[in-house]
Amino acid sequence: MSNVVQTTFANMIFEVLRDLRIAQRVGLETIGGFSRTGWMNVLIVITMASILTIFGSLFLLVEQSKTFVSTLGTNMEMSIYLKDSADINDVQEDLEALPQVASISVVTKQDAWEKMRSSYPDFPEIQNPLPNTIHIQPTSPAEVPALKQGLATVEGIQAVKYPFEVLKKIQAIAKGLSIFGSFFTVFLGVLTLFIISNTLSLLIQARGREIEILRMMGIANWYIRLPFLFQGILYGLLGAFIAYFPVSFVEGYSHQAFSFFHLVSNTNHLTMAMALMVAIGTLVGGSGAILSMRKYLKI
Amino acid sequence: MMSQIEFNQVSKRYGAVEALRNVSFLIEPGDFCFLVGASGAGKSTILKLIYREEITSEGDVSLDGVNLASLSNRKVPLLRRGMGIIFQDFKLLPRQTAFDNVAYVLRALGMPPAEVRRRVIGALKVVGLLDKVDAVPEELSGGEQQRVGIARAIVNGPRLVIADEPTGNLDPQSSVEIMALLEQINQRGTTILISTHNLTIVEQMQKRVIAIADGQLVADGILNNLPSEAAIMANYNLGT
Repeated sequence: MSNVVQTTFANMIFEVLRDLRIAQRVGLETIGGFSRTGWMNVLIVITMASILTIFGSLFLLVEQSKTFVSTLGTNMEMSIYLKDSADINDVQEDLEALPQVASISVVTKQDAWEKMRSSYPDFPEIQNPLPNTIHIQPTSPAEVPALKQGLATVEGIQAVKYPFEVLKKIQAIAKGLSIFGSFFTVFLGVLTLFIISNTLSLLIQARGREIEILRMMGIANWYIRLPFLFQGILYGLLGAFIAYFPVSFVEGYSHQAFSFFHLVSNTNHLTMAMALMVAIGTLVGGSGAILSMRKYLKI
Repeated sequence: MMSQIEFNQVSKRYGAVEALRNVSFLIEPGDFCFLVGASGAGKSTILKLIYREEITSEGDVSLDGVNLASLSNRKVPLLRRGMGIIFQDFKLLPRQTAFDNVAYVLRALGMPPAEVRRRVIGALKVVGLLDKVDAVPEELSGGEQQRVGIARAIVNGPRLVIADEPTGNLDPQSSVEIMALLEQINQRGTTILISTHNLTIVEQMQKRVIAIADGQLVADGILNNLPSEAAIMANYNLGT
């Protein structure tokens, strides 16, 4: 029994060591691939870094804009002026029942008048002309249209004031930036895919003799393919690493620009952008390699 | 005893072109066979069917009793590890030494370095190139390069060695040496199948010949006391 265990253990160790040696060979083949690609490596990495920089920067700007709109929206109050005949408590209850309302503050006509009088002591003695006012904050800017509909059902409201058009414009800019960014990223992604695929195809063609020998000697297809796949993926990772520097500069710049409004507080955008850049770089690099292998490495 | 290679009514078509027609033959373990025929006769197709680069259009090709058409693509590398292949143009890696060329495949299979060294030195000793282990291909003559190719083919201890025109790029003396080497490997029990149109060599070796013409098997047997190359050409209709 113990002999069987020993043999199994020895076999396991043997297989692990063999796999490690194969991994080492694949690593060396990958490095050899970079060495053989020469100056084209620089072109590919620069192209990859450029597409990821553009993507990362646009992503950051869109996300910062979204946060800006969101913060602006929730900071912007809707001021609801009541009719003289309306009971302020009834209206407050009706408003509190609306799901889009985040918070409410009530300013009675007396409070408003006294505040005004204290601000302007020389104000003439006239009858209080101010209405009862309720300030509400929507749960999010996106809920504003629904909230407006809800307000229409509440009795006793004379007028509602809200800088909705400004918000709508900022939202439209963010949306436009997002759509443009997506299309531009896809376009550059396809371009990079094409460059990587063609470069690796040239490399595969140049190594045709070696690949034929390997195939004839019974080397598994994955061993032949993996170095090309790793090379493609490494282009993506290297591109993402280089793109980090300009993108972090853009992040710092935009953060500073939006900070002027004292509105932006989300600092996770750079991390999110980096994660996406690494994912896109890997995907584009790997896909480029697979594409070239499908074309020239029919095994 | 089970035949090592069995062709049973094999036909192979490439589109409208019929490369092989109803070819049948058996090769037993330890055989030494020549596959002869003019260019385009179908010799390469037969070799490709054996190492499963191609599959038959009709009929069966079996290796050690396994029908190669039923072999999944995933298992083809395993099949090929059991055979050694020698090429006309040697197919050596130009920037690697003789040792590294022979060791290349063993390393790719994850063999321990000490075992790689033992096997490579053993193979290079068999082909008589122990003094050239560090030479790169351009420092070797054609015959020596082919010897490295043979060392690479036998380094994994295959039961079958396939040689596709192994003397095609060699001078007559090197050709004779290579054939002697292959015969020596055959005497150790390895089956040898050589595709060639060098009839001088075939005549000298006096081994079994499978002759192919226009995709058909036209002769299969041992050549004895044949008068000349011209006679073989005439007997087996091997126009060049």
